[in-house]
Amino acid sequence: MVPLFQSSPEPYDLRNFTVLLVEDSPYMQSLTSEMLKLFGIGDIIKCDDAKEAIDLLTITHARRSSRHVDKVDIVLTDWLMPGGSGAELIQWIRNHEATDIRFLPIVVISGYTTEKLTYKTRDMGINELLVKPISGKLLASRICSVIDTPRPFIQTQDYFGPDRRRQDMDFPGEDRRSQDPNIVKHEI
Amino acid sequence: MPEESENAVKILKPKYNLLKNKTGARININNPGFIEEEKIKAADALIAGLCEGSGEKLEEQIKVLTELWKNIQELPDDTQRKEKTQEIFTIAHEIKDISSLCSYNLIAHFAESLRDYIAETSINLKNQRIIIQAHINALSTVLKHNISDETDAVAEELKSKVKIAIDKYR
Repeated sequence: MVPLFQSSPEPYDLRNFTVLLVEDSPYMQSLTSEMLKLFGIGDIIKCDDAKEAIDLLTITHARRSSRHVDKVDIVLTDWLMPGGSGAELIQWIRNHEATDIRFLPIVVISGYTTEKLTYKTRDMGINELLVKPISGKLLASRICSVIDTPRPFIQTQDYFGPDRRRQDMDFPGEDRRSQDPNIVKHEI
Repeated sequence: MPEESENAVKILKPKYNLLKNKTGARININNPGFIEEEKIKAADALIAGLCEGSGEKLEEQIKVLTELWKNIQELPDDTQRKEKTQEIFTIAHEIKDISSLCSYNLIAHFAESLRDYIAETSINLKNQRIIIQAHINALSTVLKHNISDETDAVAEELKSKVKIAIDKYR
């Protein structure tokens, strides 16, 4: 008899997923794309820089009523690209008025290992950061993290993106935050 | 309904985990899923396969970098040299990516140093050119003598020379 509720983790079927891969290096673009295919990702759209990615997202958004246009599910982007950087792409996505764009999960893949970059990308509203060199385990873990733990989005005067706290930890005392009239919860 | 103040913090929580739905996860949607180990191993095998030929790729890129640098120095004016700087950055960035992926750590060290230096400078001043030349000389030496051990005495000397150039001429 098949139990009604599964208690053990299940392998993901990713064939219905569309990943937008933004990477200027042909070598890395090809490698990352092949790795995603091995994971079972159904469709991988490749762009060489932020400008191309923005054009593509604009077009897919405009055609979203078409059943033949696959909506992008996850954005994987390099950070530094000559024709338009990851920062420009992230800002464009998080400032977009359409909800199917501004809430897009974003994973930055970067060769920079500085703490400064980690904070900067986090404060721009990315979901995950993957520091090169890339590996199967690292890439898989970032994709699964985006799927498994979709953090609520926070909107303030100077930030829009996933909740930067990764854990909702217990704390002693009353939850005074929920009483604050300045905190407004919405379901989307 | 009271108006939200402009200092309001909005918490926007999705009703459904749409990505999880797409994976075909069964009823207990709160369980974490995974990508099968054999797929991850296949991805790592792909990297290993690519790395087998990476020595030649790196050699080619370092030669392109050397030639580019030579051409830049022969350009007649600073404006043209400045425009070409981006190409050095791009090639250094790619060399760094490939070499760190395939454990050519010494090449990755110099390529990263060059990339980061280019990012923060123009190449119009003589001092800056000395620093760039030191990097390219180091990369060429590593390639020519096939220095793989980054703790090797020769490797340490090369790193030291580049560091001296940066400290002296920055």
